[in-house]
This record gives sequence, C-alpha cells and structure tokens, in this order.
Amino acid sequence: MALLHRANLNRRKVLIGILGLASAVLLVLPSGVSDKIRVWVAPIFQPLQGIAQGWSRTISTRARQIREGLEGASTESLASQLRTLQNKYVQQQHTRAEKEQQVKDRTRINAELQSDAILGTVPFHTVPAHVISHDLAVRAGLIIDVGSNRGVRQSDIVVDCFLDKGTRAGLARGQPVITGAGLVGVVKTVGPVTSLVQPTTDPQSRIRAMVVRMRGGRFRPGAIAIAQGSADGRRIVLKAVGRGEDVRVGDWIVTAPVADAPLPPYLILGRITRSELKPAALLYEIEAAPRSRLQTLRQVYVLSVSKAKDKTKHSNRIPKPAR
Amino acid sequence: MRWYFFAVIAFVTVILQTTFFTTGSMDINISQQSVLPDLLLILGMFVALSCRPFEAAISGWFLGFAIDIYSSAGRLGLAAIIFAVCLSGLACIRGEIVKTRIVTQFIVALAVTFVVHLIRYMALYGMGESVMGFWMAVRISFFDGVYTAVLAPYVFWLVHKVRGPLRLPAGA
Repeated sequence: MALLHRANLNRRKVLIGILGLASAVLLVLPSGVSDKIRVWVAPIFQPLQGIAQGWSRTISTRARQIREGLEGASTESLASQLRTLQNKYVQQQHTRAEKEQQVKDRTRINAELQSDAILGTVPFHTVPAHVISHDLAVRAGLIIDVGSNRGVRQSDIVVDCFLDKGTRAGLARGQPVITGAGLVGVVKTVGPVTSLVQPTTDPQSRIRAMVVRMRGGRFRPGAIAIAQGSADGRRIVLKAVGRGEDVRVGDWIVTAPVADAPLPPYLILGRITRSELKPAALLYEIEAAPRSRLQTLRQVYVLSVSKAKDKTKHSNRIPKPAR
Repeated sequence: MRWYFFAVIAFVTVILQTTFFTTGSMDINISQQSVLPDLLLILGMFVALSCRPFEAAISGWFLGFAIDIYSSAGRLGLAAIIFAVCLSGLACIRGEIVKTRIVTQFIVALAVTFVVHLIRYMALYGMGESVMGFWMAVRISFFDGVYTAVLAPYVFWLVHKVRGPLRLPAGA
C-alpha cells in the first residue's frame, strides 16, 4: 500500500514536471510557431463553434434590440419630461409677470385712491379679476349704426363682460371696476364665481360725472352731469350740461364727488373729444373717449369700499389724472 | 476524477466561452476595453475547491492552455502556467473555505479572477504583447472578476449536478 502510494506520488511529480517543462518550452517558442500551433489545434473546436455561433448571434441581436428599446423609451420619457418642464416653466414665467404687473397696478391704484380727494382714510381693497368672456347684449331699440351694405362688425356691438370672480371673492353689485387708467365699468350681477360687468360705454350705463377743466395751469371742477354710453357702445356721452358751463375738448370726465353717488369720486371716465353748443341749444353735446375699454382688457380690479365711508368729507383738491 | 468526462465539460466550456462570451457579444465595454467572464477559470476553481492541489494544477494547466489556444494575444503556455499555479494554491487553502455558500463562491471567484487576469495582463505587457498599463489592467481585471463572480454560483451549481459522473472526491 505504501509502495502504491509512493508510486502514485512519483507519477504526479513526473506529470507536474512534464507540464512545467512544456510550459517553459511553449513560452520560449517563437511567435510564428505559436501561431502555427494555434491554427493547427483550432479545427478541434470548429464544428461545435459553428453551431453555437448561430445561437450567439441570435441572442446578441435580441439583447441589442432590448437594450435599444429601453434606451429609446428612456430617451423618449426624458424628452417628454423635458417638454413638460419647459411648458411649466413658461407658464410660471407668464404667471409671475402677471403677478408683478398686478402688484404694480394695485400699488398705483391704491396710492391714487388713498388721496384725500378720493377715499382718503376710508378702508378699501381691490380684487384683481380677469375678463373671461364677452356676452352679446341684445337690447330692444339698440340700433346697429352701420348699414347692411357695410356689414356688421362685432366691435360696434355693445357687449357685457364676465369676470372670473364672484361673491366668493367678496364682489357685490354696484362695485366699480377700475384699472390704472380709471373706471371701466360697474358690476351689474354677481354669481358665486363669476360676475357680469356693465361697461361705462354701455348705452344703459348712467354715472354721475363731473367735468374737470385745466385752466391757467390748474385743474378746476366743472359741471356735474350724467355720463352714459353712446349708442354704438364705443364712447361716453355727457348729458345735461347747460350752455353756461365752460367745457372744452381735452377736459376730463370723472365720477362726481356728490353725497348720494354710489361710486367713489374722481375716478376717471374719459377725456372730452367733442364739445358742441349749437346756437339755439340749451345743452352742450359732449362726447368723451374712455381711457380704456372694458372689451379690450383682460386684467381689471374691482374696488370694494367699506360701508362706513363718509361721502361728505372730500377735499376740494382735485387729484391729477394718471397718464 | 474522471479526466475524460472533465475534458468533455472543458471542451463545452471553451465553446461557450469563444462563442457567447466574446467581444461584441455579451461583453461589457469599459473605457474601450471589453470586460468578459472567464468560464474556464470558474471550472478550474470548482475543481480546485473540490479536489487536491495536484488535480487542480493539472486541470488548471489544460484549461489555461485552452485559453492560450483560442486567444490571439500572448505566448502559448502563459495562461497555462498561471492557471496551474493559482488554482493549485487555491486548492491548498480549500479546507478553510465554505464552498457551499454563494457569498463565498462570489468572493473566491472575484479574488481568483482578479489575481489571475492581473498577472496575465502584466505578463503580456512585460512581453510587449499588450499596451495596457498597470492601472488599466487593475481596473479591467477587477471588472472581469466581478462579471465572473456573478456567473460563478450558476456554473458551480451546474457542474455540481454532474459531480457523480466526474467522480469527485467525497465532500466535493
């Protein structure tokens, strides 16, 4: 048994020695000889390699298709996310610009309203609102003043305007709708989330107004009259101004500072563009252009004044109209 | 061990290595270098963990020679001697390794592949057969080791299923 074991051990040692020697011989062989041996031995593997390579190509093609599909989906997903983020960014930019403009407008409006001549210390707040749609107002007796041969243009038709705020935002009937340029309308009906506004150029609009004149470099109060919209809904007509008054083109029309007026005083309605006094007439024919038309606006502010307003305490100093 | 059966298994493994795990197919490209698993080394590791150093050296030599044959780079006998030495060394310490645990198989495969491939790349560089520098060789050897270690438990399991026909020693 020991002899057998020793014989086995010797056999192993010889084998290890042979393999070591073979390795040394192979290492020192010239590369040309090594390549020839490779070429000579390679055919042993070729039959099975041919079969396996077909499977290998199929698996590689399938793996590449899956990888390209995943990369494509990932790229598409990323591109879609990028587009969404870009749209959100643009929306945010737009919203921010709108908010900044609102802040500027409200600061300016508040500064003007807080002057002694208008509201003074009476508490008030402005509710920003958007004009969301225009409603065609069909009225009995309303004449469309262009002939049928000319056609009808929508801008000649009086429209009421909807705002995107209602009672939930604190709006109420009769509240003035203003912009930095002045009064553009009055809240007519109010719903929970929307309101209908009657423009100052509406023929059925009636506002107590006052003419403000610039004479000798100073603003002076003028006649108090009724401002209503023209038939075409594009201008303001001033009614009941007697021939003894001094009214000229270029004078301003503002809400009248009278005790029973529903609107705050000195809100600019427009500027007089025509002032005619016919020889035998008792009253002026006065037309004014509104500073801005509600139909062309998108952002407006609804003025809400505290009910404790004391309408008698108005200064005689007339505020300068904003440019 | 039944060497002729082992030769058949080694032959099939060479076919798989040269067709499925080759550049352009199932390889991973890192820094313009192909990272491939070494199935023959996994087979050699199985023998080294199951058999005595003598059998590990013999099987390692022939497996390394197979790599020298199908590899276009390097001298014949280089991988053979490296495999034989490293696998016989592994066989010497196999008693300390719990070879049935997958974590152990992973770590052993990673370490042995890293050492064998690093020695081979450095030897090729020294012979002028390769331009891969030391750190590049370290990185590629490491990734080769990881790829090999991932497949090692599966190959071990497959070869373990045929340990009967292989007539591995008891406890393999």
